Amino acid sequence: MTSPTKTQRQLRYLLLGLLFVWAFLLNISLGSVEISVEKIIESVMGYNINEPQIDYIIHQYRIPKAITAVIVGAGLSISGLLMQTLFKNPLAGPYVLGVSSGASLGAALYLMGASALSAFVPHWLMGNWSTTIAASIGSFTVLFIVAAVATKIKNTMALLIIGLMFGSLSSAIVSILAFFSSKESLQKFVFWTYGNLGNLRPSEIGILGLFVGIGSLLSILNTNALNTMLLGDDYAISLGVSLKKTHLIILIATGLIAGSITALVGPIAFLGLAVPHICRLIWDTSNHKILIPTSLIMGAIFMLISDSIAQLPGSANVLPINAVTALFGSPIVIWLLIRKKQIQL
Amino acid sequence: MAFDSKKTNSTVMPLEFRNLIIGYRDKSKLKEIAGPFDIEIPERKLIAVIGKNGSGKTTLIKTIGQQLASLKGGVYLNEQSLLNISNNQRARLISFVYTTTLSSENMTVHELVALGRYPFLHWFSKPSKKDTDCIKEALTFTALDVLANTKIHELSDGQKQRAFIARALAQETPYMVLDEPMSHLDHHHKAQLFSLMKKLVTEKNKTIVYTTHDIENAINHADYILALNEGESFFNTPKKLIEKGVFNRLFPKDRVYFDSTTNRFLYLDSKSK
Repeated sequence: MTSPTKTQRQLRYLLLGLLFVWAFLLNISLGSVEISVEKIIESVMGYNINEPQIDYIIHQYRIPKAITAVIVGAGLSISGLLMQTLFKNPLAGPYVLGVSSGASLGAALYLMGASALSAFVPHWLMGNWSTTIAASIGSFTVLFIVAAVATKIKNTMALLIIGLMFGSLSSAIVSILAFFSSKESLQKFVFWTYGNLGNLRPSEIGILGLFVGIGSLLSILNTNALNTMLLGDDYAISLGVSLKKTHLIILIATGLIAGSITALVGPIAFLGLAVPHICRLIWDTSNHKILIPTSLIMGAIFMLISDSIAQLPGSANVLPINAVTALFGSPIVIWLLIRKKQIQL
Repeated sequence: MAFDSKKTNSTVMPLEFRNLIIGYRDKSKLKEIAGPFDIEIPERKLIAVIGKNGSGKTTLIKTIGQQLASLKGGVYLNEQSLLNISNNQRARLISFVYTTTLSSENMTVHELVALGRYPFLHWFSKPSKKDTDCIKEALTFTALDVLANTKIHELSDGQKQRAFIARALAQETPYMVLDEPMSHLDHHHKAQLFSLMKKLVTEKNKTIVYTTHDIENAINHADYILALNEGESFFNTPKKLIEKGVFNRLFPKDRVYFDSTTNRFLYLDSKSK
């Protein structure tokens, strides 16, 4: 078996692009109110003057949500890819560094810990932004610690274990907090863990876009170095790669992406682990020149479709996005693996 | 100082071990394994490093590759300690073939060989005409052009080894260091690999240092042998080493003798009979 030819690959890129456009429009069109594609295009072009409420839904709610889905899906997938390459482990995902655990801990301390102390916490600290800020502080504290450790050690396995320990530590604290907290604040925290794409202000989407953009740019700039890491540390060093420097860049890129996404949208799992595998299987390569762009777009598509399903079109209910990504994503990965019969990093 | 990549293939650029002691640092303790070596590696020659397990063959290779710090002395290239040469410059002077398995074998032979051009690329730049020519040349030289689009995990052990050598060849370094390239290979593929290594020396002007357990092959094919045994080391041509009785001293139970019917040296391992 040889790898796909150039034309086969280009065809797959083209299909990916078309799928992206379709998923984006589908995401905007579906929801409690279904909006036709013509109306979406008219509204975006500014022609649809007769139905201001449709205009309002599209501009104020659906488009920002779709853009958030694109950023989150792309970001999680690329950071998952980075972690799998860094740790040479197909089970790694964006959260193995413990940044999401840090974010969860920050959010939990705020949502459940602060409510117990609400009498002492000034009112302005309880505003809308506070969960986000608390989660950001949590995730970036962990990122800072992990990066500091990474400058000291070359062994990535130790980093992986440190990340896992952060996860266990913070979930232990979270469960203690949950045990003592009130029903209402516990519910708030549980809702936060479901993930929510539709809640972001334009400024928050901007921040998310900026962080995910910087992280993605760092990955793209290090495409060649990432490819040498597929050969293992010995070969990477022999090719002149500075491992410590490259590891640090990868950690910072992943931390920025996973940290900002968890803080603003919630701990959305699965996607970051699965999408790089899906891309490896479809394009039949581990070459980052192909995997980075395809993971970005595939992740965005995956998130857009998951969110469309989560909206339960035609009903007023919304499923937790976190459940939908895994519910529909896992069978796809299993199916692809059974077809290909082998897995390579 | 700058190394001119054009010069590296033709001009003298000696690789030397100066008062080199290799070993491990375990916390504050030093564990010496071999040395001190004071050797100037002869250029455009095939140099075999032999010795039993634990004699320091791999430690020496890791020290040349700067993965391990030397305990004393150093490895010098063109009068400069490797410590003072940047990672990128070193990668343009010495290429390596290791025994380690790849983290991913989900790449084509072409993609693997293309990674040898990494030291010549900037950031995410595309390969230049020179890069593509080098890759093609390396594939042709190792007779892998027909397998260029085959995945690494689909190759036989012999083909794999050739692909790794092609990758090192694409790196265009005057020195190539190979760790146990013959292990896992059957007799036929060993012979094939030997002729490839010799061709690299004669046709591509490479200086090749390789480690091996196969003393008989080293005696018959290598230009020089570095023999390591429990801290002792000897460096000379196979003939000189035999004349001086080094093998008998290092490995007293084994025997080396010249077989006039096959016109080659035979090495009789004490374990083999």
